[in-house]
Amino acid sequence: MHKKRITACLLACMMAVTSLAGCGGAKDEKQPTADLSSADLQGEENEWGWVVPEETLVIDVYGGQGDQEELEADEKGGKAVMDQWLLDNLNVKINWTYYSVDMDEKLNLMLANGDYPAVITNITDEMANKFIQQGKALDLTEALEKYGDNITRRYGNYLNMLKDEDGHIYKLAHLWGNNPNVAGYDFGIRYDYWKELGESEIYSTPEGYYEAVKKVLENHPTNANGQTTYGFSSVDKGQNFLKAMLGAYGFISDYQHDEASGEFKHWINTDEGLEIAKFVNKLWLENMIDPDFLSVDYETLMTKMQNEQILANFGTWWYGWTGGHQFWATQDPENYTVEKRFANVSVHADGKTMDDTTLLTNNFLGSYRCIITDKCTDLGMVMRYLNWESSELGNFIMGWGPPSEDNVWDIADDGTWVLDDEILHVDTKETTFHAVREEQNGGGTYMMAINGQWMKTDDTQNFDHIDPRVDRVSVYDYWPVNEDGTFSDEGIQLSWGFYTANAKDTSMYNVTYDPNDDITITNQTIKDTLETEWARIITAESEEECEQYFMEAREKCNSLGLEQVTEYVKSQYEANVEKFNG
Amino acid sequence: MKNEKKTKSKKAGLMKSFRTQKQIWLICAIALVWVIVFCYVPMLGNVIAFFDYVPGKNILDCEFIGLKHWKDFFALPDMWRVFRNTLVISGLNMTVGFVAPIIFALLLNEIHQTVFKKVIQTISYLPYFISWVVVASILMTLLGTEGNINGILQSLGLIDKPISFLNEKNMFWGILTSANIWKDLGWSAIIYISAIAGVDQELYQAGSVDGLGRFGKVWHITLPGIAPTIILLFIMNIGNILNAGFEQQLLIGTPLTKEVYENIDTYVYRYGVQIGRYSFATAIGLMKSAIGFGLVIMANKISGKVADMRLF
Amino acid sequence: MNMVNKKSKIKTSTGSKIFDVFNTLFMLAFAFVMIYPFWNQLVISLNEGSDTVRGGLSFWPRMFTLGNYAYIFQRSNIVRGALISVLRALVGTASCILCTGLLAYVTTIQHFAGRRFMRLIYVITMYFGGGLIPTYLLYTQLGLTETFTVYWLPGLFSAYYMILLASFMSGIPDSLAESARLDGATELKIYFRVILPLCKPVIAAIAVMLAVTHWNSWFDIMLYNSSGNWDTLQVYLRKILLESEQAAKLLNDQKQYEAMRNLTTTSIRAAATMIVTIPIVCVYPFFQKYFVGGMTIGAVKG
Repeated sequence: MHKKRITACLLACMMAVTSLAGCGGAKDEKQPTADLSSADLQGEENEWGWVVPEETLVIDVYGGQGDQEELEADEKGGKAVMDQWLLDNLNVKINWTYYSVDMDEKLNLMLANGDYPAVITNITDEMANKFIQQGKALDLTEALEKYGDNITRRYGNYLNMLKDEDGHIYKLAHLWGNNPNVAGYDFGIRYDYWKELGESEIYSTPEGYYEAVKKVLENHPTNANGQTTYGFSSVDKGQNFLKAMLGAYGFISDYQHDEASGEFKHWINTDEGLEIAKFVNKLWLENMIDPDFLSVDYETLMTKMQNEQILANFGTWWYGWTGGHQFWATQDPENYTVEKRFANVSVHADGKTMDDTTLLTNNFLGSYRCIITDKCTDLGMVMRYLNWESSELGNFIMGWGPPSEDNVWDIADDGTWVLDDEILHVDTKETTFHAVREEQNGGGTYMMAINGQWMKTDDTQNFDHIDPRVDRVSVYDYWPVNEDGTFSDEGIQLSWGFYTANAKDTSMYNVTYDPNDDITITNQTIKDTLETEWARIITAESEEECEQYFMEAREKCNSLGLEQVTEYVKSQYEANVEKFNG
Repeated sequence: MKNEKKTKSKKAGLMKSFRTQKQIWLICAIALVWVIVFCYVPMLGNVIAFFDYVPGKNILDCEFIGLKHWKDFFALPDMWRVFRNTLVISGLNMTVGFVAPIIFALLLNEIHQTVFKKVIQTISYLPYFISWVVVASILMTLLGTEGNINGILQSLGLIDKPISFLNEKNMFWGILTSANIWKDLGWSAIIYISAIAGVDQELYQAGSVDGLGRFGKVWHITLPGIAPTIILLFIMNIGNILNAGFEQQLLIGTPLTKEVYENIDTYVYRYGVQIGRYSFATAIGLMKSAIGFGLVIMANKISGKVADMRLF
Repeated sequence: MNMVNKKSKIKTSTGSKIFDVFNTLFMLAFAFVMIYPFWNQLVISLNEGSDTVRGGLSFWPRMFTLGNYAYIFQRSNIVRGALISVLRALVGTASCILCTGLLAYVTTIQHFAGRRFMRLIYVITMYFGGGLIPTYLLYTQLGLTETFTVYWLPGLFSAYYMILLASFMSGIPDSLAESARLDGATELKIYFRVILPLCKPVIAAIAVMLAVTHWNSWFDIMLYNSSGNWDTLQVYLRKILLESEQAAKLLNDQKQYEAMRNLTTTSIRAAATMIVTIPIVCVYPFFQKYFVGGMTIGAVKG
């Protein structure tokens, strides 16, 4: 009897496990093309460039990690404004869902039990590929041809890069476009302190930067609280120093690419890499780097910068803003003057020009994707909508909210997109722009596959309607400018006036790693090893030791298989170029 | 002894027991159904350790790779160091971290001021509610170069240059263990405090009659009274020998201390969980479980023989 | 051991007094170390957020405000979350103690043949888990997702607490249950009438631990009740705490800049921690009365 019981239990288990295993489709093929006939609408486009369908088009979207409660609470009513506008003008309803768990985690669970909505956006390329490989993402090729004219036009050749080997497209990019930021990685310094030095011209090389910061530190050895001041700190264990320096030397995501020979070299395998290491080590040896920089987090860094304990910043440009004038201007207005700020300065290595640098980069397709899954019953209509979203007007409305008197922008009789005068004052952006656009008008609530970067007029797109008083407009931001193109806000001009580097297009250097591939692990291992080794190298106690550690690290990485990874990066680059050229 | 007799006539005993102990078996049946559904069925999911599993794919369609994940894991160049760190960190937690709450519970029991005792007891478990992120920032303010400890040492003239404690390799294990103890001490002590309360009061009276002093009572009455709890907890803990944790290490550790903090858990977290290699994470988890459980069986046997106390 | 005896006999009063003094002093120092970080968080939560970033807060708020608390109460429907938290802690704790206790009791019945088997089956579950995906699939198939049931049913029996309870129960003389059995009592009746009342201290301890665990858990909620209909207090806290982690993960520079600018302040996060922690911390003192005084099995025996 006992035995029977055990056998029965075992049987039950087996049944359970097979049912578990069977969950989720068994297909391992890409999806056949869906029926598009329902999207053949007869009728005129309305003023928004949209043919209104008779039946409300409902789109279910999973938008990633976020706070669903906050979205639904819709405190200031922005979502309601957007919902109403979409319904009235387009007859579209969007059901947007956020989950508080990590997106990749949730996506894996969705894959496992087959429960996911029609559209998934904000997804990474790797996860999108998982859906595609399992036939859970729809083939968009035909729909794009039929209804995707805006998308095809505005992507230009970059659309080719989304194609698979057979020329089919299963995913779109989200937040694509060219970088509108003036600064990328920079070699920032406290402007007011630099000005005290009385130098006629600002530094343009790392060496000059070192000299300037050194002098500033000599002039200001302690802050108001009596704490010792330092030049630099870090939130990523010193990686910011490396990234900025690699930018000044023209490396592209860790690699040196010799276009003539087509060879790739990882920085650890180059002489420039050693130079960089020695430079940062020099800063360390001369006590210019915060001794606690390996344990500092973002908030601590902000505190240190705000307390004027860290007087320069090289790495991410906006740290000098959130940790600098943006704080002082609001928290300590009495002592604040417009010159009390960090200037973002671009530099180039000796022997390079500013054009060689990769401080500021453009990655056209960005890091996010949008897919339409096999749960979508009306691919044609959804594609129509995504195409509308990708029209210039659609792009602007979804980012800035519907045009109206209550919003920060409106459409004038002559068709110009006029901005509210109030938002031309940068100081109050937070309340007059961000709050009004997002919270009150639903700007940015539903962005699925949109240009999230610079909305500017070029060969593929036309944003001539935008109020000429601003520049570098994106769905998140804008900057008021004078007629000569300089920033009309004095402070912004001070911050960005010294940044002369131009954006470098690095779209061809995108590398996709498949999690189950061995090269992924090798790459990860090398990355981790280098994080440790870099900290060791730059905190070496002498230049000789620094060089010795550098060589040890080089050897270690090469023995771990850096060569294969380099080859892989190279092959991916070549494949990208080939794809791009069609 | 009783048990051994029963095993001899196992079959007959079982049959009889089904008949005579219906009630007990009914209770067991419920508990069995529950444990099978909620523990053993999902446990079967561990088969993905042998496959190149991708969520959403039928397991039978995934490539069978056998022991590859373990091979990969043991082929790592830093493997011995990862193992060493795991054993050292969890070893410290299992010894120092295990004894501390017992001592605390005993000391607390010696306080006769009821209110004071209760207050201390409640305070002792407060750190359990402080998240590791906050603990890490507290450590930073304490041990950073501008931290309190350096301040004290400098004002006492013991050092002239601040020490970056968190970047010191040879201090990491001490710091980590202290932090672990600080955080869990009061929490772990709860069970001992309750066990002490469970000791028969008559024994103390008898002890007094026999002339036992205060410390004698602790040694001869309290400790033996809570010994079963201590032994059982210890056996259970042995199974965690390979679980050194990852959250605190990743928050307190720096690249310069990685050599001493990298352990199996941090490794699996970064190379399994974070990049979505479910099979790998499962494989290593399975290995840890198997080793841990093996040790528990051994410890259980030993304790059964020596102290006549068993988990099962 | 003789040494100890002698010593304690000789200097009972003085030695004992010295010990008391040191013990008290030690406990005071200990209390400071334990309470300070908590106190510090409380101070931060009562300080103006924009001032907190200047650092250096230790014992007293510099710019006192209740605004951080007000912000949280306005922002989310905390009352509902608190109710669900309480409900989860109550149901989860009570159901687990009753069921696990019963199981523990069964495994301590000396003449029960399956006792070792049952223990083994359960002990194994302490070391071998199911993993995220299989568990998730199981719960969806059983229809447990998006229900309150998922808060207590999967935790109905616990191997760890079974062992603790059983070890305590094995200290109760067999004769008690046996005489009840001879009187014709059912096993359930013996469990409820004889055994449970004797286990008060250990049940109190386990209840505290269970209640805290239920109160503190959030990951299972985010996974299994992801729609937010059953969000507990802890989930509200997590959402706030996870914000910066989430922002750090963003792959788009502009998006990250925007997210980082809008991060809730340290003070608000501290206030959220306080709101979530203080209620559950107060549970302990309530249970402490079952720890002191202890019990006299002998008396019951008689």
